[in-house]
Amino acid sequence: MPPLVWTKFKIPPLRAKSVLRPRLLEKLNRGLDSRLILISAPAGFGKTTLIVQWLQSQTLPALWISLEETDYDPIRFFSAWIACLQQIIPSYCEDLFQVLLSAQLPASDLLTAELINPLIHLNQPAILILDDFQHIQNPVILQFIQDAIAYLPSEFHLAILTREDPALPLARLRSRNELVEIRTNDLRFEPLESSLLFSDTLSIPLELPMVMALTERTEGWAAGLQLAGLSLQGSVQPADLIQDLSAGTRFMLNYLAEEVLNKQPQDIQDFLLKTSLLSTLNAERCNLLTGREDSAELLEKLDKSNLFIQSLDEQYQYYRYHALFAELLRNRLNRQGEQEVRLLHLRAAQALLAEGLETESLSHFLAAKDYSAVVELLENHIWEWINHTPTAQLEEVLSQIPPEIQSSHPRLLMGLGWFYLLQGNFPRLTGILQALENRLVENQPLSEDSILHRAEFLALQANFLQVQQKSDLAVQLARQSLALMERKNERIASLAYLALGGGLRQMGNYEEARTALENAIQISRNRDDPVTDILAVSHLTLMALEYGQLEMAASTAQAAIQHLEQRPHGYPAVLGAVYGALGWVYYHRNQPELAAQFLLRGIHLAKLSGHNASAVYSLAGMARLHLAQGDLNAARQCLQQAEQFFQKGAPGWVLPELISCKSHLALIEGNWVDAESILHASGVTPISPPTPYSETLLVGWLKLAVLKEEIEAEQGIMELVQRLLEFARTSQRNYTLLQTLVLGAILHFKKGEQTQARHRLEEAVLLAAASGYRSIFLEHQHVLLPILRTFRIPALEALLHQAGETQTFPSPQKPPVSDKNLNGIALTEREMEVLRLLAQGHTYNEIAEHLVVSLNTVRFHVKGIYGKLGVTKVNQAIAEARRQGLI
Amino acid sequence: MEEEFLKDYCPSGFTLIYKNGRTTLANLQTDQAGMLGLIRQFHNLGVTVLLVELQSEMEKNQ
Repeated sequence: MPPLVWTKFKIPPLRAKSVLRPRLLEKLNRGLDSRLILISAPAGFGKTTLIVQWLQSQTLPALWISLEETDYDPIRFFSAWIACLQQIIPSYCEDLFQVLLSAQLPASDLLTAELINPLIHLNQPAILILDDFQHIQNPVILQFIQDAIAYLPSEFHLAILTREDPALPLARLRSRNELVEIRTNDLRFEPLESSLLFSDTLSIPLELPMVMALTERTEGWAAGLQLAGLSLQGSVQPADLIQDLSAGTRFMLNYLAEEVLNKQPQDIQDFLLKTSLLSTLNAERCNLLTGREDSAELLEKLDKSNLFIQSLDEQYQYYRYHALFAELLRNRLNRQGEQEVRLLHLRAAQALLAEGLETESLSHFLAAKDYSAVVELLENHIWEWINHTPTAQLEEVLSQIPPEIQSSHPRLLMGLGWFYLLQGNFPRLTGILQALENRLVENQPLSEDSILHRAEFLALQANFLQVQQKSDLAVQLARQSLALMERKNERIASLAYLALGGGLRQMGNYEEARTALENAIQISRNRDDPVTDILAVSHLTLMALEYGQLEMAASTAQAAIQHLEQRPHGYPAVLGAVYGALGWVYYHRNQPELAAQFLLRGIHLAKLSGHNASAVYSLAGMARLHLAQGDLNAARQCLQQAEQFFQKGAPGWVLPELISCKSHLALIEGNWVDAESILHASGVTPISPPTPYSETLLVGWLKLAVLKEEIEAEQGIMELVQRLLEFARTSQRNYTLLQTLVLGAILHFKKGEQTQARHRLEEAVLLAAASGYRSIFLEHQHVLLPILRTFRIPALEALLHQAGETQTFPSPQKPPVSDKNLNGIALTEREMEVLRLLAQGHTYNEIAEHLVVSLNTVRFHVKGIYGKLGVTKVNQAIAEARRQGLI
Repeated sequence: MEEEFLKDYCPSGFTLIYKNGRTTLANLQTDQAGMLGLIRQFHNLGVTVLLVELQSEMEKNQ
């Protein structure tokens, strides 16, 4: 987005001689006990002057935002709000600010919480003035202001200056005495105040009857009185002016303004008209627009003569016209003909461009209808603007460029293509790609430029295909792009490498994917393109996890975070993608606190930035962590949120882990039927071939088989183990290998094949020791511990013992007790009574006495319990009953 | 337009009349800035404003 200029936050300086208005200042003081101060009146009634006088009269730290037309855009408005408040709270909403700078707007409830929560505990009084609030009509901003009024602490005061009442529930605030307002009638000058204006401010001695007459004719309107005073500074006589004003002059403003302007020397008139196009004036801009060389002195002179020009800084370098006066000047300028106005806009644009204000110059180039300059600016800055300009603002600019001009500029089309790809607007992107295809075909034979265009076109297509999981084609086009340009353009090269790496990762080609992603990282880091850098780093980290390269995953992600957090311009919130991936590293290492810290930050930033892919995998990681800690409800909530993010639009490669987690949760809850349905719905069945996509789901089938009492299609499952082992070994997908070894060992053990079980576990332990994986064993400790009682693997025992101290992984439950599930062997009511008493530690004799039955009857019931629970001892029966939730 | 909404956003003392498919808000005692804000808000809500009429003191007393 365009940089927020400091003048936006500057409290306008007060003129040395302004009329003090104690009655209104007193009313504003009362506003400190209310929730909102509202000054609502048409232009020229002295709203700004009044509030500045008041701010100078009290000691509260004051903050100021001058709102402009472009602030209707919530991204611009909230960026300004944060930048303004960071003056008193430097760390205020840093993450959100980065998100907004990346031109993204989080959901409104999240936004409100982010913006208001840090202020609730603000132990510092302050007042924030929102000037020219009439520009704000956006419901998101209005709802936020309404929430701010309701929830901000009483020490934080809000004042709104506006030409028209804002769409806020003012009537409700009035009825609750929560509003202090100063309106048109309050602001009207009384004769005494008019007298002070003429005598002290304008140095015009007028008799009281004249003052009263002028106050009456202008109805106490400050701008009217000032214009009248300026007219009287010339040759006009007060009596004549009053007569003219009362002679039915309907448009007093126009009349007075003409009077004031006409009495200025021609060169001053000319200066005022020509510079009226500028929203902020300085000497250089005015010199360029007017051809003069003395604009600095002239601006100072105009300021001193009260000619509706206002200094914006103490150094008197920047000025602006009063909005009312600027409007009048522009209307009069328009009478000079379209050609003249266009020429002036062109000069204004060039002046702003000379100061490096490219974004600000755009509107003037557009007004000058200089489309070639607009296109050139867009072509040179589109990548930067798509990352930092609010979508609506960029689309507004684009909508003003005739389609035939757009389609005749391939670089512009390419920029639009990236813009729509990042926005997820695939139908528009498809149209752009089609237009580019046609255009690039026309450009045969290829020039150097058109080679680069084709290379960028291919990189764009490749990234689009990669998101759509068409990996083969994505890789093919990315390679063509790289071959064409021979790395002559680093931006295109890094994007082509990103598509290549992403595609190869999905195809399971580790070495080449790694090289491509490392290239993307290196190039994008060299040219300070953080978004490509982050996307490549997150791909690389997650891929390293798949291949058991835990150390490499950690170092890649940590280096990226360290580098990006130290960027002088801040980091984009999409950095959450790296935090989430690093959270997974800590999960696998069984470092739950660090895992939670990084996953939560990943989720937070993903929500703010709307990066759905990282939201899904970070939430799935958090769900796994909650499952490990036995908090099933929290895990369920994470998975529900992850599902919602996936529905919003995320690449397919995040889905297997989400499905696997959902199935795992169902298993832990003892809901095997659901766990199986979830896996079935994925389309991957135990007979599906292992691929980088299906492997996680196939492991899910193994988990289900491990927990089932009887392995259905037993042979099929053992074949799946074999196929997964072969696939994982061949393709070096060590995490899948590790999981399959552990689950395969358990399945072998269940089948009584202890030797195979032992071999699998020993291999898994060796592999884990080399790579640092620990949680995989803890996830299955409830079945591994009994196995280790049969044969000993000291390294695994030590690992389970040591790691088990960090967190406890809950045992999966068997399905809830029901007649159907137990197939007619549910415990009778009497058996349940006996079981409960056994669990309480009673002996058979005590139970017989308690139930008033014989000892033999108790033994009979106990035998029934053993048979139905499949146990042979009392302590086993109690443990099994607890596991089934019977007691 | 819901009455609750009007109570929150219209100056106190207003009256609301539904007649012949039209809604009339009367006795809106406000100034130019207040009226402009209200009309713009109706506009933003998609309400068609058919007529704005100044009600004199005399008419109100009748």
